[in-house]
Amino acid sequence: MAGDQIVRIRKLQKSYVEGGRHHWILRDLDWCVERGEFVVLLGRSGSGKSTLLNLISGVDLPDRGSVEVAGTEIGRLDESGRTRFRRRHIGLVFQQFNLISTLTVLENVLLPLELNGLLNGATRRRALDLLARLGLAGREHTFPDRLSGGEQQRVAIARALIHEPALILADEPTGNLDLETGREVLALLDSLVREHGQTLIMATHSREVIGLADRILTIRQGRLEDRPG
Amino acid sequence: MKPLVFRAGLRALLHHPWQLILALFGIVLGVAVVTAMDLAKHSALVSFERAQVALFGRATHRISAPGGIAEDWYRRLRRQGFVRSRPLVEGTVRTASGKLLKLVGIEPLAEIAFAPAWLNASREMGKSVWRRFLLEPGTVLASRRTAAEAGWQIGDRVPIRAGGRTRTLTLIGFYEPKSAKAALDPVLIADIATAQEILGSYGRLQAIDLIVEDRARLERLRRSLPDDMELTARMAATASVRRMTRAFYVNLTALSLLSLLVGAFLIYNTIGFMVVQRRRLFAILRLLGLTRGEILAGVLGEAVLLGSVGSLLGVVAGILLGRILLALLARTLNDVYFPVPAAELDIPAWLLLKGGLLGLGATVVASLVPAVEASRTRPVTVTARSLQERHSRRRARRSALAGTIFLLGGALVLAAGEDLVSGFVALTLAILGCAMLTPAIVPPVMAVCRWLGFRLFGPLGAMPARSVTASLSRTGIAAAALMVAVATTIGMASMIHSFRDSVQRWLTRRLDADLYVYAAGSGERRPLPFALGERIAALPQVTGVGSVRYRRLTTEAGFLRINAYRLSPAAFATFEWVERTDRDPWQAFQQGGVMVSEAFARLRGLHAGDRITIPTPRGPRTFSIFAVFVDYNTGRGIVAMERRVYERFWRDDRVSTFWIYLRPGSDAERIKTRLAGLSPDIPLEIQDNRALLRLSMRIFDQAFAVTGVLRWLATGVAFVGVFSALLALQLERSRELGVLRALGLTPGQLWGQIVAETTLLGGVSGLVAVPVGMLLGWLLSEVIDRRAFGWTLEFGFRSGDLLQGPALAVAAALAAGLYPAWKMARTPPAEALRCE
Repeated sequence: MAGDQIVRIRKLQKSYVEGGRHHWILRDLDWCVERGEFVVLLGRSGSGKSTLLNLISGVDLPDRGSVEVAGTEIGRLDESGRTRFRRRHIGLVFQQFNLISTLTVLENVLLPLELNGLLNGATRRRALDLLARLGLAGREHTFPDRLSGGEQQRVAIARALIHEPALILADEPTGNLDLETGREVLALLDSLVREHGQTLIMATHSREVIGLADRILTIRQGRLEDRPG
Repeated sequence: MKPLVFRAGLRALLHHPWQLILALFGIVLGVAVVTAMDLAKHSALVSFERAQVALFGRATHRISAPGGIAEDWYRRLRRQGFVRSRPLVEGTVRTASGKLLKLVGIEPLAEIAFAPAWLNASREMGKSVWRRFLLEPGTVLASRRTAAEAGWQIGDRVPIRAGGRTRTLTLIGFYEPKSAKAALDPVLIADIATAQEILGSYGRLQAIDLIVEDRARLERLRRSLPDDMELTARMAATASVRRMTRAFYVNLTALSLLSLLVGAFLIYNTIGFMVVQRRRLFAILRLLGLTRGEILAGVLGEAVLLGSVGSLLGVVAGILLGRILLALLARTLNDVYFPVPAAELDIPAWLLLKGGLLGLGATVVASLVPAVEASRTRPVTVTARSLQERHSRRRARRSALAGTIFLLGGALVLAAGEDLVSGFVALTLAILGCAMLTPAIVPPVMAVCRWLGFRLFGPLGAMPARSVTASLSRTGIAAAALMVAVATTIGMASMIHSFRDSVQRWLTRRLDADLYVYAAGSGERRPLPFALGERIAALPQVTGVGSVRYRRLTTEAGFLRINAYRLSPAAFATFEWVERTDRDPWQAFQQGGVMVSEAFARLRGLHAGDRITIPTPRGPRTFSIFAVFVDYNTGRGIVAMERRVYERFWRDDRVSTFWIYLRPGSDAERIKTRLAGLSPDIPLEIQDNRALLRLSMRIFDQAFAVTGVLRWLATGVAFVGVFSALLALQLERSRELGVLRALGLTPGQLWGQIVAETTLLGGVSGLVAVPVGMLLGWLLSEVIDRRAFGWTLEFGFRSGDLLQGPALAVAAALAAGLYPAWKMARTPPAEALRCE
């Protein structure tokens, strides 16, 4: 991988078949993201932003082309390998929060540490500190359904960052939040990611985020238009 | 498994405790039925074997004869050097309260060489008791338990009834059958002369036991015995009992396994439902980095946990249920097969382990498909449920295709093999195939219901059917499990009723005479002189007399029974043929041909036109088989021949049963009195055909009491399954129902929606269960029973059995709809909307 690129995409194509017809979502995409960058993906609903994030995280596979993350070509890994790679190197934040309703706030945050075999006294204290920084001190043993939307998204951010992945993928993280709460969440995410030198790729409709990003890309008719932030 | 992941799954399960309890109930009931059946069957045989050991002691052989043995034979044998021999007199007596006891008459000094268990345990009684037992007439020994139950104490004079007379005996001591446990209960032991006097068998013995190891000597003895006396090895008795009951036991095992299969479907339903409920959780875990293997292991781990707890509880419940089944089974075995002493439940650890492992195995196997499905959850499905439902419709079509292949496979297995195992395999494939077809049937049926609902009640009327189809991933599983549970109860009911109806039709046809006469008593009855028939025929009201002599033979291939008939062409016409040669049956019968029972023909692979060699006192003789006849006797071998043919080879002038045809309008009661007077030496039992039919059907019903219990247990499992599946379905939809409430549906309308939906699902499952139940009933009757017993049953349905299926499904569906309807009607919409 050239330079300090964390994501490198070559000739990426993805389509869906519906009613017997191919719908091209992404066409011949060539793109890379530098380590430590904050990249925003803009585009209308159905433009392929989430699809691109799914391809980067290995949740989905391209029809053609390749995706390299931290020097590993995702498509060359088998299902299990992709899953293990994702849990070690990528943190995910979703519009729907996707917290596990049967685990408490703290347990949700500890889960990636456990999956990566990193759970111990020190990491547990780190999780408590992180929750405190996110304004969730005292809510550690609460179940997610008792939290507001903003609080739930902050838990999701803590969960995405706790095992210090190199890459954070956020899919419409403020889509379910009011304007003010959305701003707060974005600011927190930005500061935490920058603090740890992590890379953040965020898909969004929101123009609020433009001021924070290093680079802004727009997906239009399956192609990327790049411009600096 | 990772602790946090396990905790997340466990909390999700505990979030629906009622669902967990019902799932456990399915496992518990399935394991309990199998364990109880195993324990009851095992205990009955063990009890019989213990009784054999307790009474036989070291005896290696027994000489017996159907009408008993003249006492003289015992003295003759001892003179011939068979010093290790003992005489035995046995019979049944009643206490003043009517309780039946077995009276065993012994020669105390002869017993010592045999060291029977009761004697070993009685040494502590003391010499004075033995002296009284040897010298004082009318003294008896009893076990403490027998005495306690009858309220007797040592020294009591106890009245005993036998043969219509009452005698008073003195209880002088207790024997404790320690090693034999309760095998000797309820038995009274008396001196042989006392027993003979009470039982009215002066000068006759029931049997003579021997200890002989020299085979040449045994062979000489066998040749010196008259035709009607039989020398059997002691082990042969147990082996024979095992052979006799094999088919009966196989049938009970099949039915108990069917209950477990229904239980397994409930487990499949519950685990499948739990997986569907947690699809979102699995998708999130997959996103966060849990591999497919880890998800598979997690779900199977839960199944193992659930299966272990359920199996453990099931084994405990099986022990309790086993006691009830043993009582029923002992009654059946007593009536139909062999005497079972007061049996106690014997609980070997291996049977408990077997039941537990079967339950655990069934749980894991039933969980495999849902577990694999859980592991295949794609992280992207964390999004829309509609995507999942679109997949579930495709899955339903694929499952229907697999179901069709299973059914075809079942048909092939059925056609390819004639044995019982292939019958079971075909039955299992049929059940699985039909279950797989069910989810695909739901959408088209619901389309019709939706159209009807819309026509009758507008958009709200179409909603329940739409909702069933829209949640096919959940409703499909529930419908399949429901259908199997209900079809099983229909199948079992059809089999039992077909069996009963076939036997009743057969008996009604065969019992064409007015009266039946045989020697009074129980067990193997004494034969009557053939000349008695002539005296009966001379009575003015009698228009005809027929007779049969039953003769049991031991051949290298096992036991067989000769039925030597003297009958009129009209009585002969009551036989029904399974197959026959072109010869006129009556002519063939008169001219020395034999006919064999269907069970015997199947067992030995014989057909009409074949020849069979039978050992006779004049050496082996070969007979040609002109027909195979319908017969539902429990023994597996009957060879029927004309009496004249029989007399050519056996010097035997006795008869087991006479039947009598009376002039129309004769007074049967008066004739019974006259008949009794014709046989002053041997008390007669005289039954009219209706009483005999009633008695036979009563014995049949008793024999099927255990099967009936199994059927009701399977029905219970089915009801729980239906209830839990539908209840789960509705409670899981709390949020959706909350939306409907928020949109303005009144509690009454919501109640209607929920109940309509569960009823529709119950109804469609119940309706599909009818043809499937008929198929299962046919397989149980025409394949399993035919291959197990060797009988062809006239398979038929009772409308009640068929209606029972849909009724059960709809009743359970209604019951399952009530709680969620009540709960949702009381829950404020806002709270329901918060539900996840």
